[in-house]
Formats: sequence, structure tokens, C-alpha cells
Amino acid sequence: MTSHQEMKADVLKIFLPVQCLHERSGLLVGLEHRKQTTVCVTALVKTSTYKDKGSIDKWLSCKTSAEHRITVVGVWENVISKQKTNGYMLHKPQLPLERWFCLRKTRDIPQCVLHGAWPTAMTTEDVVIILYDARMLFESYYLMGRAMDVQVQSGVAIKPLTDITLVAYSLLIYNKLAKSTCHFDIPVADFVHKYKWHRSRFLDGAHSQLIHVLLWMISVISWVSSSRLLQNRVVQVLTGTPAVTSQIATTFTDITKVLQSPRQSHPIQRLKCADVLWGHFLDVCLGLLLMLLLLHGDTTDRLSAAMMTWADNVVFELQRLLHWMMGVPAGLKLNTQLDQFLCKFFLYHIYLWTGYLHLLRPVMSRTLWYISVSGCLGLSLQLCLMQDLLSMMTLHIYCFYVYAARLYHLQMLALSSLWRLFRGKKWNVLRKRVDSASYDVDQLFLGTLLFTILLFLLPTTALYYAVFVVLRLVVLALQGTLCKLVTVIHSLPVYRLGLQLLCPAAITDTVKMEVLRSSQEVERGTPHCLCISMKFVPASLTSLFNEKWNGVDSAATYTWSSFCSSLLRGQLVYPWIKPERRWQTSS
Amino acid sequence: MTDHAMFNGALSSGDKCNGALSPSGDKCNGDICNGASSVIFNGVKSKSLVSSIEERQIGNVLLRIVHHESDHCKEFAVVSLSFNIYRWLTGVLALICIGYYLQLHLQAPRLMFVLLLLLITLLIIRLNFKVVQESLLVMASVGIQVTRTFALGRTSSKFYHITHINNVVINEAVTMHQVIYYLTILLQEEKGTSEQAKVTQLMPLFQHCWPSLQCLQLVYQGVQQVLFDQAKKHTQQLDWTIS
Repeated sequence: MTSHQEMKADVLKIFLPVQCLHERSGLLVGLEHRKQTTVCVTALVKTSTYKDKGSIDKWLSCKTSAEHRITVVGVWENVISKQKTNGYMLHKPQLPLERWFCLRKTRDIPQCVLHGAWPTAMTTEDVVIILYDARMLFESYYLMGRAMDVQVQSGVAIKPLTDITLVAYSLLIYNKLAKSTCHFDIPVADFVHKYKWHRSRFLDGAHSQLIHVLLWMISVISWVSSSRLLQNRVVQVLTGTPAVTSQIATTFTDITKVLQSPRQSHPIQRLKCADVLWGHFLDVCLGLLLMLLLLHGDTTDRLSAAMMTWADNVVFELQRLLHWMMGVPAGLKLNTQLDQFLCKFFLYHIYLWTGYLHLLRPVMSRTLWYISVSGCLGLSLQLCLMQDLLSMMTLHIYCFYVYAARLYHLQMLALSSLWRLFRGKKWNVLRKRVDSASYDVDQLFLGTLLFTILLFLLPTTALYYAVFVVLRLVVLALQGTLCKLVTVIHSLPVYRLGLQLLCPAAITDTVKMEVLRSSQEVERGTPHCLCISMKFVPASLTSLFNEKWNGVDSAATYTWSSFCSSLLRGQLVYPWIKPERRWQTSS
Repeated sequence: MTDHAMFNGALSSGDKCNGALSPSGDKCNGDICNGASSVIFNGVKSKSLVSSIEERQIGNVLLRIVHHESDHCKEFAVVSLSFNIYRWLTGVLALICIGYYLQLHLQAPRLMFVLLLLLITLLIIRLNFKVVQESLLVMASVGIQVTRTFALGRTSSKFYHITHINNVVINEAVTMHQVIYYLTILLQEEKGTSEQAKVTQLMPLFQHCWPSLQCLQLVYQGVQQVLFDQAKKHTQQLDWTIS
């Protein structure tokens, strides 16, 4: 690799807000960053002469902090608009500064002339004027957020900044320094409206009372929930299992986080808070919509009747399925006695289940009505309640699955152990590995006998297990879609999407440069500088969706291979359900 | 000669084309392009003398270099010429004639209509993603902007700031039966006060038009001239004689 050359550094970049092009002549004021040879113009002092030198100096001295100094960087000449120049030094600039430049307005793009002690190699041709819209920059959350993140040490940034961050930072500094109270009689054109983005868009002072009440309620609830009574493991397990309570807990923590974050914080944080709040608001609206849909007419009654019919159908189909397995299912010959035993066992269970359904029948309609009414608290709550209802209605499938899985798992365990005995090996629990072992003849005899029995009984058990696993997976798929819907509703960046549609200036992320060419004839030989226009481009939708707010990892808890191996071994699987809700580790 | 014309590398800082052009648009009087007889300077418009455009056909792409009257800014555009609209139009007309002859339009009008709509939608979608031109705007001390222009006029651009750019190089990808050359930007993280920046990412350019090595060399030289101090750069003879 060749040694790294240094990039060209003798180019002066002047960032000029577009608003300046319409202003009258005056002095340009801004921040100069020597190390990066950049000048950011932040304001225009509309003074006709430099006779007010004293007052300008006093005004500028107000705008000094330990690390930054706003200085006069140049002169703006606008001789196209007809006004009296009033003795203004057009052709004899004599500012008592070390170095400065003069920007002259031509028909379309400004021209620049350097004066003073610039580095000798720098001529007018080495000047690049970059025009941008200061208002749009100031409105952008991301760009101003990056400017706030800039760390400065003794006036110089620790890391070299990109130009856009530099300009945003200069505007920020200027605004901060401009807040300091010094009233002088100087007409200044600030290119951005002061303090505009400090004004909260959604947490105004009028809502502060409501926020105080909410915060008080939240503190009470958190005090109650952290009491020793409720920190019990049993209570945690009981509240963790149904989807509803965990959903409520998540909503609660979200809103707490939002309301407790300080108001005048980082703009990107405020954007995300707005996302959360608007997301919940949208949630509640959708829930209300669904509620109105369900309560209109007697939809709940019809729905509950349909659900009971469906449950009865499922029971009937299950019974048919079990009778089919008692015969010769799909041409497989199963062990008759075991088959009959298992079948009778499951049929009795179904009989119990039909009794349970009879109990549930009158309550169903009311339950659905309550679910729809809970839409006041949000669509995600309704979906969670439906998820819980589904789990309750398919409890028998879950029970069957657990029985069959346990039986199969037990059989597999015994088979693997006896298989090892068959080969003359043993599982060493201490070292967690397979060791060779010597067995007596009677041990071997008994072991081989048991192994054979279990091996030939395996197809029956495996078939029952396979059938119930499939049923369970179907139910889990339904639950999974509901769970996924809830997650999507939670993590949708509603506010930012809305901003993209309605106010794209607020979420601009990058820039697009375009070289401006003068349309008028330029005499050959006159030096002129390069003029570039910088436009702000909104962030793309894909980058919006890739950001995660809560740090909620939506990574799957199972990979395909681990899932299939758990299924084959007979271990209980709980896909699509968050790990903390599993109240029993898989054995 | 036309295919092997190349810049002979003897550039020094004072060479520019703006002072030496004749208004009739003839070739430059030898400052930059010694021996390159196929280069035409036709950017001398009557109104704007601010930039000069140089167009050159290399292989199946058209390379357009815009010199923005400044040492510090150049724009390189690669236009892919493989899409020939007249050929496509004649093909479509021929197919329509055949269809008319075979009386396809009387078979099942509704089905035909639906198929036609589907094909037109697919065509519009395909054209939306077809890249017609890729351009590179290099500005010294500001950065590099990469723009793609699609067939329906849409553009999408990406800007890399100079603090993120380490270098621009021609890289080789060696497959089983050919070597592919591509121009790439080496991106780095912003370095701190004293440490050397590390190259963290490669950003290949011109991924849709795939210009040939000769074209890439021209672009490379131009980019190096704009971004780095050119006095040290082009002293050695650039001796690429690959066909």
C-alpha cells in the first residue's frame, strides 16, 4: 500500500445561507474554523458604514464564550438592489481585520474576493462558496442532534467534523450566544428564527398540569409494584404468563420513560419520545375503532356463537382423529395395546374438555364484549386479550401436546441411555461426556431386552407426538401472528413517518450537492470561485425502520436448527413467546 | 489509435483548458491530451463559458467529464448505451403485426387486455429501476457525491464527506475466468487527534454501467488530480497497455 497522501487543504470553504442573498449590504458575521479552513456565516449586520465600530465591537464581545468567538468574517455587497450606498466602502475595503473576504452579488451566484493575510497559495480560485438554506437546517432534528453531540476541547473539535455538522454546530453556538442579553442598536439579520426549535411541539406548558398528575400516578403505581408483597416469585409467574399483564407492564414502562425524560434534551431523544407517545395514541384510536365495529349491532353474540361452533368442530375432529389412529393410520401398523391405551386416555381427556366448554358457553358473549370495550386502552391490549382467549380455548391441545411430548421425551431418553449400554458406553455426568464402561452379563441382558421393547414401541408414541406437535404448532402460529402484530404496533415510528409525509424538512439526514453555473458570460481570465448549492435530503424509509428504540431485540429466540432438534428430542418448545414469559425452562 | 489513446500523464499544476480553447470547439491545443485524437471538446456553448464538457465513447459506455472551470471540482458521468430504444420499438411493432396477423386480438379480449396491462406495469417497474447514468461529482476538500439516474428520470444520490474518504482506487476482482476492474472509494472512520485512520469500508462505484479499465483510468486520474496535491502525483509514466 502506498503511503497515505494528504488531501488538499488549501481550499477555503464559505458556508453562506441562501437568505443572505436577498439582504442589503452589510457585514458578515460568523465562526471561523481555522483548522478545517471553513468559515460559517451565521448573521448579517446591516450597517451602512463601519463608523459604528465601537458598538459593533461591543456587540461582538457579548457573543464570546470561553471556547468560541463570533467575529466579523467579511463583507456582503448587494449593489443590484437599488439603494443608497451611503458612503459604503465598495471599492476600498478597509476593515481592520487580519483577513476577510468580500462577497459580491451578481445576477445569480455570488463572487468572492479575498483580502488580507490569507495563506499565499490561496487565490480567489481556491474559494468554494456553499449555499444552503439555514432555516431547513435548523428545523432538522437529526442534523441539529448531531451538532449537539459535538465535543469540543479548547475551541477545537476532538474529531474532524463533517461540514454539515460543522455548520449546524456554528448555528447552534451562535444561537446560544445570541441569547445573552445585550441590547445594542444594531440591525442584525439572523438567518434563523431564534429559539425556534427549542419550542416543544408536543409537550407545551399548557399540558404541564396533566403531566404532573400522570407522574404522580406513575410514582404511586411503581411504589406499589415494588413492594415486597408483589415481588414474590409466584406472583411474578402468575402475572407474567398471560399476554395482557406483560403488555400492560410494557406500556407502563414506556410511558414512564417518556414522561420522566427531561424536556430540553437531545432532539433525537425527543423525536423518539414523540414516536412513543403518538404510537400509543394511534393504538388507542385503532382500539376504539375496533370497539365501535364490534359493538355495532350484535356482532359479539354472533362472533361468540361462531367461536363455540368452531370449538365444537375441533373437538369432533379430534375425536375422529383419535379413532383413526386406533385403526391403521396411513398404513402404519402400530402396537395395538399401547395404541388403545393412549387413545382411550386422550378420549377421556376430550370428554373432560367438552364439559369445560359447556361451562364456558354462556360466558363467551360477555367476554367478547369486555374485550371490545377494552379497546379504550389500545388495540394492542385487545390483541393480547384475544391471544389469551385463544390460549384458553386451545388449552386441551396444549395439554395433549405436553402429555405426548413428555412421553416421547422419556422414551427417547431411555432409548439413548440403553443404546449406549448396548454399545458398552456410559454417560459421565461429572465430565459431561460419554465414557466406556463394563457391564455384567445380566445388566446387558436386561438392558438389551428393554431397549428392544422401547424401540418397537417408539413408532406409536412418535406418531401421537407428531400429530399433537403439528396441532400445537398451528395454534402457536396463530398466537405468533397476534404477538407479531402487537410488536409491530409498538415499534412503529409513527411520528417520524408522519413527519416524512407532512414535513420532510424535519428529518433530513444527508445532503445533495449541485454545482451552480453562472448563466452569464464570464470574461475569460477573470478568476472566479466555485459555487455549490447544498440541499437537504430526508432520511429514507428503510433507515427509519432499522432503528430500534427500546433495545428490544426482536431476534428470534430459536434458530431453525435448534427448533428442529428440540422437536426431535421431545423437548417443549415455546417459539414466539418472549423468554421471560416462559415459566418453565425446557427440560 | 482511438482505443489506445491515453493521457500521457505529464500534467502539471498550471494546465487547464479554459484559457486555451478556441471558440469553434476544436480539439485542445495539446496541453492535456497529447496524441488523443479522438477527444472532442464540445463544451463551448455560446452562453456559458464556465464549464467545459468532454465526451468520449469507450466500449459500450459514454464517459462525460465536466470540468467546472476549477481545479477543485470535476464531474464524471458514465452513460450506458446498451439500451437502444429504436430496436425495442421495432421489435414491439413486429410482434404486434404478427399478433394482428394471427388474429390474437379476437381470441379472448378481456384476457388480452389484462395481460397487456400487466406487461405495461411490469415495464414501468423495470424502467423505474434501470440505471441509465452514473455520475461522480468530486469536490476538493468537500467530498464526493455519487448519483444514479434511472430511465424514468428519477435520481438517487449519496454524499461522502472528505473526512470519511481515505482514497479512491481501482480495485481488481479475480473470478475463475476474468478479472473485473472497478473503481472504489475507501472509507475511513473519522480519526482522532493523533491516530492514523483505518480503512473500514469499500464503496464500489459504477456498479451498473461497468466501464472498462481504460475509462476507469481516466476517471481515476481526474479524481486524484482534484482531491490530492497533483504536483507529486503524475510524475511517473502511466504505462497501462491493456487492450
